[in-house]
Amino acid sequence: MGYEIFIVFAKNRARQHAAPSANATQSGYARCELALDLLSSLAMICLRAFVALLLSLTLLSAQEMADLNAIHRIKAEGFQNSQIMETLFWLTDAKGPRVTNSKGYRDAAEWAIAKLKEYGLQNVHTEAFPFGTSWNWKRFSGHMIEPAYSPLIGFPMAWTPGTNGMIEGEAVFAPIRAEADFDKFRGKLKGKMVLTQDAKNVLPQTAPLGRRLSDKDLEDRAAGDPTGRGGRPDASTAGGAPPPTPEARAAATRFRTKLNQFLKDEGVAVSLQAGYNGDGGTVFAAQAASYKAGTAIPPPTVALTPEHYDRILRLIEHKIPVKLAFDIQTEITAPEDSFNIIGEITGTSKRDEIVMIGGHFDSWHGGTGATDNATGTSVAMEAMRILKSLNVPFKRTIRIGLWGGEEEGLLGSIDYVKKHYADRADMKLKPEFSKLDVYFNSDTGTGKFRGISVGGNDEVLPIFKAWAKPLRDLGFQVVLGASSAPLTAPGGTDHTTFDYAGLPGFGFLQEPMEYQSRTHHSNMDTYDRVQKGDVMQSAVIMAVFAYHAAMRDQMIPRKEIPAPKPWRAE
Amino acid sequence: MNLQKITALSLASMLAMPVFSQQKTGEEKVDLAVIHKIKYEAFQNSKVMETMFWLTDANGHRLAGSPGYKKAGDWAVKRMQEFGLTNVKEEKWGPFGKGWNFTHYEGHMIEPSYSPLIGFPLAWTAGTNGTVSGEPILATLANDADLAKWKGKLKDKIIMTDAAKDQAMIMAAPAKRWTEAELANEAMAPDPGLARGPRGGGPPPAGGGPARAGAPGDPMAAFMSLRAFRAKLQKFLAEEGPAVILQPGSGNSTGGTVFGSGGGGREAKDAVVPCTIALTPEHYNRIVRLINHKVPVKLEFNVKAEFTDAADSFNVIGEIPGTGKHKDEIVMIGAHLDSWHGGTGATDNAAGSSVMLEVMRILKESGFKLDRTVRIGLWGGEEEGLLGSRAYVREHFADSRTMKTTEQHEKFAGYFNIDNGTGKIRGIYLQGNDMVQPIFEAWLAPFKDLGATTTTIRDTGGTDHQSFDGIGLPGFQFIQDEVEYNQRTHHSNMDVYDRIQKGDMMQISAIVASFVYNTANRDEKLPRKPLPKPTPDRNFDGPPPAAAPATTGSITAAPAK
Repeated sequence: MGYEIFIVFAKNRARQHAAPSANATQSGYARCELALDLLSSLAMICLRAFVALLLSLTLLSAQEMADLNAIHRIKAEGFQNSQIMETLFWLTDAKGPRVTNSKGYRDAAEWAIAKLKEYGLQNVHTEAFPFGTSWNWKRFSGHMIEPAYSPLIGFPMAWTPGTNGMIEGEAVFAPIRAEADFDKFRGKLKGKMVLTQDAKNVLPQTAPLGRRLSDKDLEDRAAGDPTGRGGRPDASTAGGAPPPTPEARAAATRFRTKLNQFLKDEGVAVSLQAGYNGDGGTVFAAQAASYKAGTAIPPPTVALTPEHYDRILRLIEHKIPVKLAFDIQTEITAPEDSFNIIGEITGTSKRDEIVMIGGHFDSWHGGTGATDNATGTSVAMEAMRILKSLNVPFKRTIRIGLWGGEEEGLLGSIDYVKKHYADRADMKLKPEFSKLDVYFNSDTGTGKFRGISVGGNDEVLPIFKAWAKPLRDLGFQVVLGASSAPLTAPGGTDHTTFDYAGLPGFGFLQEPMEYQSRTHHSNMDTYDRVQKGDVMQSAVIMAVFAYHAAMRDQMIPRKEIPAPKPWRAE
Repeated sequence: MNLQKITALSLASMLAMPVFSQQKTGEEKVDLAVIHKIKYEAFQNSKVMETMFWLTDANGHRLAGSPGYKKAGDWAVKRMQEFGLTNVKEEKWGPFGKGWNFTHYEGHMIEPSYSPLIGFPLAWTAGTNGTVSGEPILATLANDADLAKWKGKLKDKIIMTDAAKDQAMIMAAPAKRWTEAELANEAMAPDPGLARGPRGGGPPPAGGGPARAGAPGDPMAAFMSLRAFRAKLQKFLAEEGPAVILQPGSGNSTGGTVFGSGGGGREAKDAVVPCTIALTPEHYNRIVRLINHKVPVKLEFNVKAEFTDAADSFNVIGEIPGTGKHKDEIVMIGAHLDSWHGGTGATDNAAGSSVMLEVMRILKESGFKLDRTVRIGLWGGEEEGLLGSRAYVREHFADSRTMKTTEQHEKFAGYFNIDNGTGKIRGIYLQGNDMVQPIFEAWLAPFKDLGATTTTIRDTGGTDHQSFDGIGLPGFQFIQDEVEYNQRTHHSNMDVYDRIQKGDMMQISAIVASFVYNTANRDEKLPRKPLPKPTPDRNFDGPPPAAAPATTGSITAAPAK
C-alpha cells in the first residue's frame, strides 16, 4: 500500500467522521487535514513503514467500507452538474445511428474522443479490431400505390443494397420456409415485391409498455435461479420470447444465406418482412445480411410496421392487385478494420492496475440507438467525467472502453480481451491479465441501476454489498448472482467477454422500462425514450463502483482461471 | 365451433327459454328464440370482418369528399343490394365543400444524419409541388403576437409551429376495458349541479392521456375562441406562404403512431393552407433539439395532395321493409361512413359501418317478420360536424331551427348509432330519456353473459345520434369498451384493420340487431322526451359546423368528436 493513498484514505475518514456534526467539524476536519499534511512532510520515511503495517492489519480485519464522502461528491457532481443528456443528444440526435464502422459510427467516435479529451482524460485513443464491410443508409421511402395510397412505415435492413431510385412492382406472397420451397417459386419472383413471412397477429396492448421492478421482483431475482446470469432482464420478465439456442441460430443463419442468394438470383425487386417485434409504427429489425465480406447479398430488404405488412398480405389473399413503390439508398463499402475507443484517468500508487468501465458504442440503425447503447456509452462517459472532476489521486488507473461491433457479436470487446488479456481458446495469459482489476459494463437501456450481478463470484458479494449499502435510497438495492453458473459462451453484452476469459466482468441489473416493448433494435430507439433521472442515477453508481475499485487496497477477487474453450458455440 | 357444440347450445337455449320468458320487466317482452337466431347468425355466419376488410384495406381511407369516400359509398350500395335490402341509394346533401386527397407522402431528414420522417399531411392543405428541401426554423404561432412577429418572414421556409411534445414512458396499458366498478359509476346519474354538455361514449382515457376539454369556464366559449384563432392562423399561413408547416402529431401520438386530421378550410372561399405535416413526436422533437443546439438541419419533403371543386356529398341509405301494421313506421340504425385519412378509418368508423351493414344482413338472413321498416343510414361528413346526419334529419324529420316537424317525424320509432371504436357494447346511454330505461334493461338482459349490462341516464355526444336527439327523436349510442381508441386509433395513422377486435365486432352486431328487432316489433314506438324548443342560432347539441375540425391537441380536446 502506498503512503499517499493512506493520506487520502485518512482524509476521507476524517471527512466522514466530521460530516454529522456542524461548523466546528469543518475546522476540525481542516485541522486534521493540515495535521496530516504536516505529518507527511515531517516524518515521511519512518511513518511510511509504520502506517503500512498498521493499515494492512486494520484492513485485513475490517469490513469493506463505502466511502461516504466520495459518494457525496460523486452524487453532487452527477446530479447538480450532469452532462449526460447533452452527451446523449450528441450521440443520438446529432450523430444519428452508429452501425459499426458506418459514417455515423465514425462521426460519433470523433465527437466522443474530443469529449473525453475535453474531460481531461489521458491516453485517449482508438484500438483497431478486424471487421468487414460497413453499411450506410441514406434514404428510405415506401408507398402502397394500389389499390389505395398509403405511405409505408419501415426501414431497410442492414447490409442490404438500395433500389437505385424509385422502383415500382407488384406484391407477391412467397412463404419460403425451407430450401424445398425454392422450386415452388423459381422463375416467379422477378421484379416483384416479395413477402416471405406470414402475417403478424397484432394484439391490443393490455399491459403497460413501460415497467419498473418492484421490491418483490428484486427479491425474486436476488433469491436467484442458479442458471440466471443477472445483469440483463431475462425473457420471462421482459416479455420477449426465450432466446434461440446457438444451434438454432446457426441453422437460421445458414438458411438465411441460402434464401438471400435465391431471392437475389431470382431477381426479386424488394424483399419485405414485418418487424420482428413492435407495432403501431414502431418497427424492430436489424440485419438481413452480414458485414462479413463474401457472404450473399440479398435484394433490397425492408422491415415494415406489421399493420402495413399484414394489409398487403390480406389484399394478396383477396386477389386484389397490390402495387408498391420503394426508393432505398444504401452503401456497402470495402472491408476495413473498425475500432474501440479507450481513455484513462491515470492512477498513482497502483497505476499499472486497471479498473475498467464501458459499454458498446455501436448501435443498430432503425432509430438512433438511444437506449442501445447511447445510454451505456453516456453513462460510462459521464462516470469518467464525474471521477475526473473529483480531482483526487486514484490508486489505480481508471479506463473507459467504448466497444465497436457489439451488435455483430461482441467483436470489439472480444478482440480487446484477446489482445490484452487472454484468448479463451488457449488461455495463454498475457502480462496484463493479472493487472485488470475489474470491468463494469452498462448496456440494458435507459432504466436506472437496481443492482449488480456478481456472476457466480462469491467473494465479491460482500464487497459489492458494502458499496451498495449507501446507494439504497437511489433504488440500488440488490447484489445478486452469487450462485450463477459459469458462462457457456459470451453473449448478451460486453462484460460477458471479460467474464468468459476469466476476468472479473460485471453487468448491472436495470429497470426494464420500455426496452423490450419499444426500443431494443427499433426505429423508436430515440432520445425521447431516455429517462433523464435514470441515466443520471446510473452514471453516479457507475462512478461509485469505479471509485471504490480504484481506491480499494486489494484487487477484486477472481474466480478460478477457466480451461480453454472456443469463443463461439458454432 | 363444431356441429355437436352448436346442437348443445341450441338445446340449452330451448331449455332456458321458458324460464327467461317469465322474466319480464314491466310489460317489456323479449323473444329469446329471436335472440338465439340473431346470435347464431352473428357468431356462426359473421361477415363483419369481411365488410371491414373491404371498407379499410381494400378501399383505403374515406375522407369526406375524397375519391375514397365515393368508392366506399358505391361499394356499400352494392353490399346492401347483395344483402337484399331495398330502396338502396346514395342520398345527396350539401353543399359539403372542396374534396381533398393525398397520393404521396415522403419526408426525410438529410442532415445532420439521415432519418426517414414518419408522418402524413393534414387534410385540406396543399401538396409541395415536387420535392422541397431546406433548413427548418422554429416559428411558434400560438397567438396574435406570434403572428405579428413572424409576418413577412416565413415565405418558402419549412416552419415548425409547435413546441417539442414531451414523451412520457407508457406506464398504463394502452388497451383498456371498462371494469365493473367503472360501469357501476357510469350507471349513476351525473351531479345535477354540473353544467350539461356532451361527453365521449368511452371510459375515461387510459394511460393518463390529455384530459378532455378542461378549459375553465364555458368549454364552448373556449372552443369558439380557439377556432376563431385557428381561422385567423390558416389565413395567415395561406398569405405568408411557407413551403411546409410541421407539427407533432396531436393527442397521444407516439412511436410512429401519429394523430392528425384537417389543417385547412374546405369551403370554396377558403384560401389554401400550405402543406402541413404531422410528424411522430420523436422525429419532430429531434429536429427541435437540433435547432436549439444550432446544429444545421436539412429536411426534404414530397407531398402530392389534390383538391377537387366544392361539391355535395351523400349518405348511403337502404331498407328492409316492414310487413306488419306499422310498416310505414321507421326504425333507423346508422354510423358514419367517412373517416380521417392518416390510416384507413378502421375504428372510426368502418367499425360502426361494418356492424350496421352486418345488422341488416343478420335481420335479412334470419328471415324475421319485421312489423316496422328498418332503415340504415351510413352518414357522410360526420368528422366535419355531423353534416350528413344533420342534413338527413332536416330533410326528413325536422329543422331544429324551427322545429316544424314532418309526418315522418311522427312515424319514427327510434335510432341507434355506433361510433366509439372496436370495443364491445357494455351498455347504453339513455340520453336523459327515463322512459326507455326499463325497456333497454329488458333488452340487455339476454346479453349479460356477453358483457352488456349497464344503462345510464347520462348523455353521450360527439356523433350522429345527436342529430336525432336534437330534434326530439329517440336517438341512442352505446357504451363501448375503449380498447385502444384514445391511445392508438382515433384519428391516427394506425386506425387500421389490425386494431379491430373480431369478437367485439360480432358482439356489437348481435346486440344492435336485437335492439333493432325489438324496436321494430314492439307494440308502441319508443317513448320520447318532449320536443325541444327551436334553436334558431344553434341548431344542434354540439359545436356548429364550419371549417374542418382542428388538429392540435388543445382543439381536439374540445367538445366535438
